[in-house]
Amino acid sequence: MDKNTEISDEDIALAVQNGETEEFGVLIERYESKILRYGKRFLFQYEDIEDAVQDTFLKAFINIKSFKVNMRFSPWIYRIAHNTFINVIKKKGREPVTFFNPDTILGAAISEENPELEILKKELGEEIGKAIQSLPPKYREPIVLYFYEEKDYREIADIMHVPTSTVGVRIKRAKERISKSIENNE
Amino acid sequence: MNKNQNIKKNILEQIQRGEISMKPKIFFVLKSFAVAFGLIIGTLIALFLFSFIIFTLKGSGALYLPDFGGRGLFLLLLAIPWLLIVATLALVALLETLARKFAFVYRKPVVYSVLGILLIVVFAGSAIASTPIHKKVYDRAHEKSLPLGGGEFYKHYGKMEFRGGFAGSIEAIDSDGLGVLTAEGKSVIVSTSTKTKYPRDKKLSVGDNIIVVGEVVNGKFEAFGIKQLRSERVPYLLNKKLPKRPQGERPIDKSEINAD
Repeated sequence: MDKNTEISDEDIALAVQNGETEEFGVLIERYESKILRYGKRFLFQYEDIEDAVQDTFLKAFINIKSFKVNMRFSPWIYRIAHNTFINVIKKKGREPVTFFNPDTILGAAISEENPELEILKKELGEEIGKAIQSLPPKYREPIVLYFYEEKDYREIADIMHVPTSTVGVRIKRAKERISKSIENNE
Repeated sequence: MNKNQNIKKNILEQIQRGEISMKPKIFFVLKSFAVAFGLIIGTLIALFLFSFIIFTLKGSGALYLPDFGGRGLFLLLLAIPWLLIVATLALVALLETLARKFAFVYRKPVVYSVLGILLIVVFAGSAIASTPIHKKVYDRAHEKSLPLGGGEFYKHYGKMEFRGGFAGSIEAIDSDGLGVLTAEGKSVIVSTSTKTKYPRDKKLSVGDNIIVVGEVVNGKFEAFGIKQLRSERVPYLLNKKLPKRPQGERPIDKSEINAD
C-alpha cells in the first residue's frame, strides 16, 4: 500500500516533530489542494491566494511542535489557514473583519441538518457560488467550510474559534442571504 | 512545473536550506504555562478585589443600606467603590479572553463563560470576605506598612464609612434622640422625630448596634431612619471598639425616644 494513504496525518506530523522534516512534503501533498480550494472560495476577490496558502504551510511547519498528535490534524491546519486568510483580508482592508462579533454572545439551537441548503447547492451550483461571493467574510467563511470543505459545525467552530451555535446561526443567515440574492437575480 | 508543486518544492527547499525551522516544544509549553499563569493570577486578583469590596461595604455597614428602601439603595450606590468594580470587571474580561483559548470554552456562547467566571468571583469572593483574612491585613495595614503599597490600598479604599449615615452603638437614649458611638470612636448625637423610621416591632436599648441614615442639620445629625443590626451584621471596626454592654441596662421602648 502507498505510504501516502497508509499512514495517518497525525503519525506523519509526529514524524516531522521528531525530525523527519522531509515527511512534511506528504502533509503538503494531502492538504494543498484543499487549502487552496478553501482560500479561493473564501478570498475569491484577493490576489496572491497561493502566497497565503504557502504561508499557511510555512506557519504549520514552524509551529508543528504545538500540534497534539492525539488530536486531528485537519482542524489544526485549517485553523492556521483561517488565521492566515483573515490576516490577508485585514491587510487589504477591503472588507470589515471585527475583533468581536455579537453573535457569539448568546447561543441558539440550530439543527445541523439543512436539507434546503443541500437542494440549493445541487440545483444552483454556479449561481450559489456567485451568491456566496457576495456575502461578508463572517458568513462567507462558514458556508465555504460547510459546503465545499464538508466540515461539520463542530469542526467549523474549532477552525474559527467561535461557538458551535454561532456557526449554525451564521450558516442559517448566509442561506437566507443566498436565497434572497438568487430571488433578486431571477 | 505547476504552482502547486512549487509550494511543496519551495517549502521543502527552505527547510533543507535551514531558512525555516520548527519552534521548540518548550516555546509552546511556556506559552501554555503563561496562559495558565494569567488565568490563575487574574482569578486571584479578581477574588481579592471582589472580597475586598464586600469586606469594606460590610465593614462600614453600607451593604445593609437597602433595608432603608429607595434612599438606602441610593446611598449604597454612592458607597460602592466603583473604581474597584471596574477593575474587577476588566479582570473578568481578561479571564474570558484567556479562557477562550480552550475548546471547551470557545465552543460555547460567550454568555455562559462570562456568567461562569462572574459566579465564581461573586461566590468565592463573598466566601473569602467572610473569613478573617481582610480583617487581619486591614489591622496590619493600620499598624505598620505592607509590601507593594498594600497598606495604602487598605487605608485608601478601606475607610469603612459611607455618605449619609453611619453604623454605631447606642450610648444613651433620651426623648430627643440618641447618643451613638461610631466605629471611629466618635460620639454623635442623633436627633429623631416622628418622621424617623424605626423598626416598629423592636425596642431600642443602650448597647444596641444600629445603622443610621440621615443628614447633618445645624450641627445635629437628623435621622431619616434607624435599623438595628443583628450581631452577625455588626461592622468589624465597631465590633472591635465597642465597650461591653452595661450590665442591667433597662431596655427602653421606642415610644420613649419617638416622643418629640
